Amino acid sequence: MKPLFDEMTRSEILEPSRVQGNVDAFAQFSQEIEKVEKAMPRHLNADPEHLEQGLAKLVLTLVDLLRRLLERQAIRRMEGGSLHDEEIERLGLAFMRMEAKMAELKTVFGLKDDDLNINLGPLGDLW
Amino acid sequence: MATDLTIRHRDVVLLELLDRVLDKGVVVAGDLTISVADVDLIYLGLRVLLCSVETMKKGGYTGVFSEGRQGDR
Amino acid sequence: MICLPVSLSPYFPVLKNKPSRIPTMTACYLYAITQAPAPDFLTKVGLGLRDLPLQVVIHDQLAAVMSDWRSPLSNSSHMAAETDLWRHEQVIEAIMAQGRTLPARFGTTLADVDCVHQLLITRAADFTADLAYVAGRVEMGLRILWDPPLGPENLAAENSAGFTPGRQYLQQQILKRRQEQAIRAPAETFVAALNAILQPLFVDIRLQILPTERLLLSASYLVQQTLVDAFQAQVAALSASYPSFAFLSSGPWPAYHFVRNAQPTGKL
Repeated sequence: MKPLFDEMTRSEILEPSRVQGNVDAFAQFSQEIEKVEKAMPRHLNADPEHLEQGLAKLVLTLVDLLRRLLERQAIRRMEGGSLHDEEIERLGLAFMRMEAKMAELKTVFGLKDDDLNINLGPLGDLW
Repeated sequence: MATDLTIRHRDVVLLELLDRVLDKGVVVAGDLTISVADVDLIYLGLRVLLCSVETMKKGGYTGVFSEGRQGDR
Repeated sequence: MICLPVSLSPYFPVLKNKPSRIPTMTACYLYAITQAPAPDFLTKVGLGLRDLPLQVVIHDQLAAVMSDWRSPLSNSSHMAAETDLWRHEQVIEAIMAQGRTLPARFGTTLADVDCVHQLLITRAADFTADLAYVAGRVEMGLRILWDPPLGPENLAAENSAGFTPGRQYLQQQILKRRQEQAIRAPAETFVAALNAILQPLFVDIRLQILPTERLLLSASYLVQQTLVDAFQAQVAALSASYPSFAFLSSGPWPAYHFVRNAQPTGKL
């Protein structure tokens, strides 16, 4: 097979031609790509100092997943007309409180919204 | 400015590289996937790393090597 | 024999005591899996991270390229720097120049050479299949920025007061969702049209549509090496056709996104 790259040197890897595009947009691209990076599932750190936060992140991600799925289900039923006004009100209040609680927990563990987003492959992002 | 452009250019190249070498490629056995309804939700690397792009850019990436410090208990 | 990744070493230390009584950590740093190479292979590939020499572990038609990582535990040079990333990439690309290659994730280490050998044995079938899949192919990256179309103003009117708080909350969630979907539809249409044009030039794709509001597309394409120039030309042409979007293309890269690690060792 014909060699893909001739004599690699470090300067060639950094060579601008590796990336091509509208140079004016580079700064914006960096900004957006970094946001995507944050949203990707990260490995957990076994370092005890970080372990708690890593596990908290995992648990909260699962809890948030459930909350969002349930909320979507409630909305579907509401739009489908199979809920009484009173039920809608109770569900709405319950989900409102859950969202507030999640916000609290995120603050306690120092996590941002993006930290809890995960990519579900063919289903897209969690939220 | 030329220097400004070089920095921005380099940032973008580095981000593209990070996106690949840190998140993709062959991983070693010992990983655990949690599946719900046949959708793989969470991927836990027992080879545990925590990294953010900022950390990497500042040169503070803590890789698996650092765990060796704890090995002498 | 149980091969544990080095990361478990706090609990199962891999230690060798040197006469100086400073415990040392040893590990095998993995760069790539490749086809069993020619004898002069290493002379063409160069040095690894921290200028460590490279080694090849062979099993059947497969080879793992690694460095013997040996460092005293008190050494704070465990922190990886940007130069390490670039060296990792450089090594992989040099290996690629010699034959079909699967890049390893940065930081992948195994306890010892026996474990590396075991890796090749246990995953021989998958590695062989993946190598065949990426042979003669490279990865091209594409990202597109746009200004998201504004949502219709009149949707806000539905969210009037007069609703009780709980119901209002749910209505707001519906509104949010509708706005997201309103943006998603044109995004998906555009990406589908783009990929229809690129379709003759790529073999496979991994993509995210709207990973952020402004990032319309983030994609990696598996492209036949011989078609890289044509692919780049086509992307440039598309970029010129859509001046209100910003295109960012990168590559060629080793096929990072197309390594199929479908190996869960446990399922919950």
